[in-house]
Amino acid sequence: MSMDKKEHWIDEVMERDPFNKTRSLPTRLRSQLVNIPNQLEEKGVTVSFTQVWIAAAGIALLISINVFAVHKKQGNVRTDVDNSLYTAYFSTYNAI
Amino acid sequence: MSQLEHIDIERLKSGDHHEFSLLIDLHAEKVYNMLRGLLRNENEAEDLTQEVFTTVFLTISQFKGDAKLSTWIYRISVNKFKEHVRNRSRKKRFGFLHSLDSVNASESLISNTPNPEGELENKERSEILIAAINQLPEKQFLAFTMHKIEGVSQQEIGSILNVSITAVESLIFRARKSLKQKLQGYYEENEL
Repeated sequence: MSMDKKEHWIDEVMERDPFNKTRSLPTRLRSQLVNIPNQLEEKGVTVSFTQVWIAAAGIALLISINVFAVHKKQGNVRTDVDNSLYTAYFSTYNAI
Repeated sequence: MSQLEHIDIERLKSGDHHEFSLLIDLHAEKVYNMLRGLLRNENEAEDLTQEVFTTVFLTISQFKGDAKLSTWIYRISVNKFKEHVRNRSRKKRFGFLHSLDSVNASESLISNTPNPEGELENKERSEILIAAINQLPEKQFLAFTMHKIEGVSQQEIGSILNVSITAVESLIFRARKSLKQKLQGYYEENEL
């Protein structure tokens, strides 16, 4: 079989294939597709990307505030400890 | 008239139901037919079309307008198809399509053919060719199959696969060459 005939054979079989022929959208499927927004809203799934980013930014801000607060408190505690040691040491010294 | 004149993207992004149903009327049929051609199964094509438009509705805010809306939707369709194929990993790559197809395609071919001998011949030919197509590498498979689906241009295939028209032509050429090699045994057996 020549190359042209082989290609023709492939094309012929593909052309007969019903799956390559356009078919109109089934009415039932169209209704289901049009109903997608309602279904998603009923499930409460619809969240816009802006909302997601706002929520993420809010969480990040809260975490930052917490981290900052913890660091600040640790600094204060350390200072208090340092002060107490200093006072204890020098109180004896002063007494002498 | 371009689709952009039909569809108000901003309204679509705000979740307008009417605009979404316009989108369905403009693009759903083509998505459905593309998935039928790729999957070769009516029920799965319907299910996947629903998945595609659910994704479209949920992610339309990500559409930046740098490609045509139709191309963006068809890319989602092809990605859903690939995902679907990957989920069938227990079966041979793309091989499952053949088994899914055999009943549906045969039935449709038989119902369209007037003589029984021709019916069987068509069925056998179709099965042999589809089995060979399913063995093609993914990009060749997609380019070749979509190229054969009515109403899908090479330009659209290029946009969907993110390659140039020349690359699409090359993929189709290589697919044909590969098919001819794979079918050599059949050609010889049947003295074609």
